[in-house]
Amino acid sequence: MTRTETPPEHRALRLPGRTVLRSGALSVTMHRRSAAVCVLLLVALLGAVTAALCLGDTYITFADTIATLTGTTGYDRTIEVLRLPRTVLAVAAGGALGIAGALIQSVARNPLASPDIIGVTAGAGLAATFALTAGLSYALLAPAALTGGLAAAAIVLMVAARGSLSAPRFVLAGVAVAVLLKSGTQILLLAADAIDAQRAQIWLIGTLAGRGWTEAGFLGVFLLLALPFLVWAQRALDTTDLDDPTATGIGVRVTGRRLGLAVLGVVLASAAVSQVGAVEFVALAAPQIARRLARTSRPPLLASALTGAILLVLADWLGRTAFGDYQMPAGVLTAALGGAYLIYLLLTKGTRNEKSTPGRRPRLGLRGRAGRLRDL
Amino acid sequence: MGTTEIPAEPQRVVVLDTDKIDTALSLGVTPVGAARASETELPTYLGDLSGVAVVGTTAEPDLEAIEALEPDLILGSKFRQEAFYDELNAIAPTVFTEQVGVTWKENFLLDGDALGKGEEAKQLLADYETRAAEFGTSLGDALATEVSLVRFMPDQIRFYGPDSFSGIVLGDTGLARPELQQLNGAEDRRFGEVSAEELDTVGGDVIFYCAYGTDGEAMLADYTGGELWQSIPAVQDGKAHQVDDEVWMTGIGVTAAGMILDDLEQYLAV
Repeated sequence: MTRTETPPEHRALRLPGRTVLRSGALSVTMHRRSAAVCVLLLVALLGAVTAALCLGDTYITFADTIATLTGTTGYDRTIEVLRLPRTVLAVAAGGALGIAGALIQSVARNPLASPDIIGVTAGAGLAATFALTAGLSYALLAPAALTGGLAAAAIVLMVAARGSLSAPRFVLAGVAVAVLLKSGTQILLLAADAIDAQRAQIWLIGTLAGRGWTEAGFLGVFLLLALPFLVWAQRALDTTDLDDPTATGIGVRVTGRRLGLAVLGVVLASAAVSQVGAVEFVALAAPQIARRLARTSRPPLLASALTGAILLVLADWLGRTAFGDYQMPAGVLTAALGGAYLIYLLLTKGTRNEKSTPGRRPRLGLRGRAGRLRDL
Repeated sequence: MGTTEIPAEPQRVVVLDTDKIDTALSLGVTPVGAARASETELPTYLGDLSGVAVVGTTAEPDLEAIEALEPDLILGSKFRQEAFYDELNAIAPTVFTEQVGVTWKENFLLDGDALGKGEEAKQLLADYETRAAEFGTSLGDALATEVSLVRFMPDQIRFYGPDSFSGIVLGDTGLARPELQQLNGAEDRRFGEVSAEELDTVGGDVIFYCAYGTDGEAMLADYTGGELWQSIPAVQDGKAHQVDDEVWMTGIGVTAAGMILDDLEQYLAV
């Protein structure tokens, strides 16, 4: 694909902040800032992965790490058994959660809508808690969680779809189902033997400890299969920002499209959560962080995936290195890291943006978000 | 969990559950590393363990710390560390026992074999059982004494049944248990919960009680100071004794079992 001079007759169609890439009959509009942000996020992700591989109880230099990955050194076990598998899993799960959050938030047109809020995580959590406290085989844990997450999502979508799957209805149905499922989990935890309850609680927080290639492989295949749908989603998302009459007016089948995007989101979230546990906040924070960095009107998919991956890799790495002999589950730190960074962005970027564009309708800042929330 | 080749005489052993610290030290093997229970530190009843590195908690072992110790044998529980088996076994030959508590004697013999001290383990266990039975015989009529086991935990109060570690030790002596604590007909006969309002129903002519962790200690102080506890006949008779939780509950080994017998001799001998 090459970028060519825009022919004069097309100048009127030029979109601000976007570059149109053309190759023959094909053309793709690219948001320039999004693309730059993606490159930066990718660099940041590589940095986080490098830290996770090099730094731990044993310090392994960057050169030795590369040598271990490509050949044999004395660090094979440390890198290839203890550090690499869970880091790759963190990239895959964090990425899947970031995309899932971006899709669900776009459909719900609500930054609070994420798999953790709308029942997917709660459904997986209830099923996993049952599996762990009822003494089911360990091999059944992930399938049970996957089923639980998908079942919860199906209930939410069924409830919300009565009445065109409107954004507020989707969120309310999700919150209601999530609360019900969480109370079920609490009952199981209280009734369970303390040791079982402790194992379930670690799962509910979410951890990558003791997990690796099997889980990463499962998620990798899952993401690969989802790829064609994600390409479709990237285009379909552009219409989710429109209000329903406008979208219908330009010929979009609103409900079907929204349902498709929502299903893709919850399936990805269920898959990720079934492998790493109910890691909270990645799916909520990653898309919002990505959106503020890219300054787009809705969460950009690729940047959300990269942000989610960075969050989970950092959380896992800090959890296993920063607290002495205590292994902090990643889920504790995703909330701390993501929450702190999101607050920082809300306090700085939002206001600066509003100040810098006087007279224009703020698309990214606090007022814009408040406007959306009023839709509820 | 598969088979594993273990060295004949392991020198650097890492233990990932509380019962295995007791097992290793009972057999004269000081582990290089041990996981601690989440609410407590390494046990103190086994003497000075300052040379033993703490490698995380039993539920969340610190794999890199274990690797850094360069162990030649890892002992753990499938029940607690199943998710970590592949990583652990890549570090050193790993032997898991299935359950905790109920099968403590079988676990002790299996771990003894893994440590290359199977014969010593058999002998120690036989010695303990002989001592428990002889102590029971020495009590004569006192065997009719009902012994009650109560444990204060951070979020509940439990009594312990015949399939718990200390319940099994009491069983080996032949001492009687209160009706409630026999857990007859229950599927899980390790322990049951007693509500704080019914604390006076725990029963028993003699009560041994203990607390898990500092939060449990706070519970214990609260409730044993209360009227309900003070109204229990055994308490009024001065026959309620606080004992060491590490020995009676989390110890789970032949040394801890011997120390329970010490306590019984001290408080019950006729």
